[in-house]
Amino acid sequence: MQLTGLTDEHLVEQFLQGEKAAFEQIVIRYEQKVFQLAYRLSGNQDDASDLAQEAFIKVYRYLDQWRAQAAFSTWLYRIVTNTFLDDMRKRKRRPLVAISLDATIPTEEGEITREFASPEAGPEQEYLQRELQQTVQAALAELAPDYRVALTLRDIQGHTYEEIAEITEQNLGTVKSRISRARAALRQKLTETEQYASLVRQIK
Amino acid sequence: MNCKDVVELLPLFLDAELEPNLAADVEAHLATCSSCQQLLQDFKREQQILRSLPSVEPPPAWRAELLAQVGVTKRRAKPAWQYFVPRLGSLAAALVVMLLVSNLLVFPTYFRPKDKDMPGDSPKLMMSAPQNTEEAPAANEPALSALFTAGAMKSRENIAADADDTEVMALAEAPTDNLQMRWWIWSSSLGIVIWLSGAGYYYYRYRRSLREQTQ
Repeated sequence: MQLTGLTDEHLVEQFLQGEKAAFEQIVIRYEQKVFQLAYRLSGNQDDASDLAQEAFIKVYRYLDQWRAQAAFSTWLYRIVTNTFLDDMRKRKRRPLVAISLDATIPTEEGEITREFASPEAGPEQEYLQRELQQTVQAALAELAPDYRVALTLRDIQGHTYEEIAEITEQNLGTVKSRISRARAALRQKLTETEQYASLVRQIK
Repeated sequence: MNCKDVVELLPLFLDAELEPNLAADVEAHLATCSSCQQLLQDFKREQQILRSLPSVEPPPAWRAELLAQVGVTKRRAKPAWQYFVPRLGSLAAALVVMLLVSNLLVFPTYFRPKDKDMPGDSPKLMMSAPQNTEEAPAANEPALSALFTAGAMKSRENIAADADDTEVMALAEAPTDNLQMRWWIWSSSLGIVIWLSGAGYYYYRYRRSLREQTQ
C-alpha cells in the first residue's frame, strides 16, 4: 500500500482502520520538525529525544480523539509544546540545563547554516557566527518556558502568528504580546551576556 | 510618540504585525531617534540569528526506538540459528543429566564379578528377576539391559520365561565395556534429547513473541 502520497488526514484514517504502517509514515513525515522543536525548547539532545518520543506516543494513543478541528500538524505541535510546558511546571525550581558552548548539535549532512552576516564570510566570520548562534541559543534556554515556546515557534520553526495562536490555543492579541515580551526578555538577557556584545562588535 | 512606547512596539514592528497607523507612527519616530534605530537593529539581529540556527535531525536509532515502544515494528529478528546454539542453561542441565544417568546406571556394572562362572546362576537369576528387584545389583544387570533393548516389563517377562540359557549367558557375559558404552550412548541420547527440547522450547517462545508483535 502506497502511503507516502497520502495527506495527513488520510494517513490518520488508515491508521485508525488498523494500518500500523500509516503511523510509521506519520513519524517519518514529522520527525525532523518535532525533534527540532523539542531540541530548541529543551536545549539538549536527551531531553529532546524523550520529549519528541513522548509526543508521538501520545499521538499514537489519542489519535482517535483528534477531531480535525485543527490541522493534524497543529495538533501534533500542540502536544509537543504542552508536554514541554507541563514538564517545566513539574520541574519548578530545578535549574534549567544550560547549553555548553561546546555542545554538539545534531545536524543534517552538509550542515545548513543560514547566514546572517555578510555573504563573503571567511572562516573567522563563520566561527563568529557559530559562537553567536550558541550564545543566543543559550540565552533562549534561560528564558521562561512560555517565552521560549513563543520565540521557537515564531523565529525557529517559522510559524505565522495565526498558526501560533492555533497551536497554543490563544487568541491573536495574546500571541502578539507574548512574542513582544519574549523578544524583550531575550534582548535583556543578551545585554547581560558579556561575550554577546563583543561578538557582535566583531561581526561585519 | 516617545521612546518608551516605541520600544515596546518594536518587536511587532519587526514582524509587520502592527496596524498601519501605529506602524507609521513608529516609523516617524525612528526617522529621528538613533537609539531606537539601534534597538531595532538589535532585535533584527537576534531574529536573524535564531532563523539561522542549523536544522536538527533526530539521532539514528531514535525512530526505531519509538516504533518499538508503540509496538509498530517487530524487534529485529535474531538469526534462527542462535536459538539452536546451546543456550547455556539447557546445555548445562543436559550435560548434568547425561552424566548422572550414565553414571548411575553404569555404576552397577562395576560390581559385576569378572569370572565367567555364571551358567548355573543364570536361570536362578532370571527366575528371581521379576520377583525380587532388590537382589544384588549385579543380578539385575541382564534384566536391566533387556529392559532397554525392548519395551520394559514385557521383555523382562519374556526373558524370564525363556529357558534359553545361552541367550541369558550371552547377555550375562556381555563385556563390561560394551555395556558401559551402551549406557553412555543411551544417556548421551537422553541428554541430546533434553537439550534439543530446551532449544526447541526457546525457539517456540521466540516465534510466538514475533507473532504477537505483528498483530
